[in-house]
Amino acid sequence: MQQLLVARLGQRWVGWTTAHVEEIAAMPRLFDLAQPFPHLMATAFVRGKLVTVIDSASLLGEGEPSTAAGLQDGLLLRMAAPLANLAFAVPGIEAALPFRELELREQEAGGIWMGLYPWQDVWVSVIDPSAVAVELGRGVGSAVRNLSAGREHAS
Amino acid sequence: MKQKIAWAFIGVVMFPILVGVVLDWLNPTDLVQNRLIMVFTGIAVALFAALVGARFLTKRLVDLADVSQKVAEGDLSQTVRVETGDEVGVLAASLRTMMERLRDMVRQIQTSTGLMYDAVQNLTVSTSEVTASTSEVAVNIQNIAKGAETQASGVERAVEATHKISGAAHAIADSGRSAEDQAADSAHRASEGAAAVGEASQAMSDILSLVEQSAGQVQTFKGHASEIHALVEGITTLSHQTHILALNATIEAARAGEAGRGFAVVAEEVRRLAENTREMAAQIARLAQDITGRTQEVVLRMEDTRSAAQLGHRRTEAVAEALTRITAGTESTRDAVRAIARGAVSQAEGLGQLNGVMQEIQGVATENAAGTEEASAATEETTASMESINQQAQALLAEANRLRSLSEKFRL
Repeated sequence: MQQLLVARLGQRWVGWTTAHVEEIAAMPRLFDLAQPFPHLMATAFVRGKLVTVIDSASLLGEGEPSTAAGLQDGLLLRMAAPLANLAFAVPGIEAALPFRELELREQEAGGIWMGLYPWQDVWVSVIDPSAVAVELGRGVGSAVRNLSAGREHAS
Repeated sequence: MKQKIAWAFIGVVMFPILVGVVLDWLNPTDLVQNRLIMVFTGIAVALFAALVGARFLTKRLVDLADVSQKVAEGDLSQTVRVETGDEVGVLAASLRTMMERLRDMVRQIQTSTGLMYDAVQNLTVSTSEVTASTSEVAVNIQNIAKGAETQASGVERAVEATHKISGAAHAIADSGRSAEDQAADSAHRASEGAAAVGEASQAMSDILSLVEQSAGQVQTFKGHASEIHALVEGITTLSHQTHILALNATIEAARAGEAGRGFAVVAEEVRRLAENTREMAAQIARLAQDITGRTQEVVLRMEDTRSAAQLGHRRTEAVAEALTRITAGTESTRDAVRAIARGAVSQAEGLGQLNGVMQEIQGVATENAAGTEEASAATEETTASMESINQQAQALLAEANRLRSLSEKFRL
């Protein structure tokens, strides 16, 4: 039975299903990107694998982009294949809930969200890592194009 | 004069006779005519002689009258010639003698007037100077009189003060005797206090020793608290790792499907245990931190206590030394107070004698004040007299000046 891993990001409760999570690790040593793309905060080595760390709070618009030092006490949620090189940085996991897909309100889905899941007296926004990866890919591509256009213009 | 008149008479008489003789010789026929011619000739000669004599006499008198007129006008420089020994000559000699004597008198008067003028002028200057000096003397004597009054008043106050000082000296003597007794009592009490402070100093030493022992124990306790803190940090780390391990176990259980359901429950329980452990570790950490903080405060307080105890010990020793010195000082004070009391008695006796002397001085000062008042009055009278003399000298100077002006009108 799947579980929903719940974290608090600002004023919002955000959840990841265990189907998408490969493992949870203590925050490893982070290497800041010299020219970070949107929400791509740093890189890190987890069990010898290079992963890209996403600043979850910044991604969801719940705060200014964090630094590596600001997340040093947090956890890293490394995604399962085919997104095994992607990891979300969170301050902590507040709860692990039994996840029943029938209870997921998919009509609230859209963008990077799978839907809303009820928990006690709050709603947990369930994140879709694949959609996040697509959005990040678009963002990175746009940034790379802008960067290339700027260089051509400069030359 | 008489001789001249006689010769004139002879000429007047003899010339007609001589004319008659000559005519009679020339014309002996007409004797009558000769006599008539002789008479007329006699008359003509007589008239001529009378005219000449009168003119000669009148001229000399007119000269003398002119000289007299100039003398009357003050001109004594005229000279009178005495040419004949007749009455007019005698008159001229008398007039010359009179003029010479008048000249001598006027010279003497002018000389005397000049001397008198100079003398009066000197007298005026002298009286002015004497008047000024007398005025200064009067002012000085008035000042002396005021000073004498002030002196008399001061001596009177000094006598009163001496009375008071004498009374105060008696009071000091009494107080000195009382203070001597109190100083003796203070010395005794200071000795007792020194002994008590010595005991207190020993007690402070004991307290200091106990405080230092307690400080060592608190330091040991502080070290234990630090060890607890380190252990709690280890427990916290373990619970965190357990929490992560439980989450991963949850993920693995979910991945195992129905086979992992039981394992998921166990993983959830482990996760909760890890969370509880972390919360309890956090509470223990807070408690350990609180204990550490309080221990630090206790250490600081113990340091303060030890410092205070050391300070108290030093001060107690200082108090003991001070009391020892106070004991010695009170004995010295007792001796000094005794000497002061004796000195005050001597002072009171001396002040009694001084009082008598001051009363004598007061009498003399009062007499001096009265004398200077009298001298001041006499000087004022002298000043008034000198001013009167000065006024008279001024008047005399004016008279001498006028006299000299008058005498200078004569030409010598």
